[in-house]
Amino acid sequence: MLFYSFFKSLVGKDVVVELKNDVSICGTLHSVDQYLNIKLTDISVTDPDKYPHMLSVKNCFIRGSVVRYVQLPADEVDTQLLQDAARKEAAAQTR
Amino acid sequence: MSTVPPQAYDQHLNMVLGEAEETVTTVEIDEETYEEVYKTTKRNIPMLFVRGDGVILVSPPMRAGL
Repeated sequence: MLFYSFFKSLVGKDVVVELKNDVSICGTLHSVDQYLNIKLTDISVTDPDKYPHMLSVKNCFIRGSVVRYVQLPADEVDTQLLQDAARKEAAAQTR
Repeated sequence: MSTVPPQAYDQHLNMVLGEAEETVTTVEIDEETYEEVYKTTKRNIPMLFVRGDGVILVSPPMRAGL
């Protein structure tokens, strides 16, 4: 649940999602669910030559299991809050 | 690889890393000599979420002199 809440706090921000098939998609985070499935709006492709041409696609739904990385804007992340939440989550897990 | 402690992680090994450096290593085999050529490319990402199902190994940083 930790990362679900974390991503919910980033809705509206621009992110780059890199998938396990090496496709990188840049877009605005529209929504996320408990499986970390992601909906992006206003997408564009980032790295040239590493992606298929999705010129006509504006919005997309990405299954959480195919995500490799999500590149986040560093200044939008409250690192202190995140570390505290992770510490609590880790403590809850070991119990 | 990051020299900064992980900002967050969970039981699936999903992680958020700050100041991450990704190294991609590829092996190409020369058709004539059959020798293995190792190539690496690196890139830096200031804040990165990594999905846990791709994680195979997590290790502590190597200290100089060890």
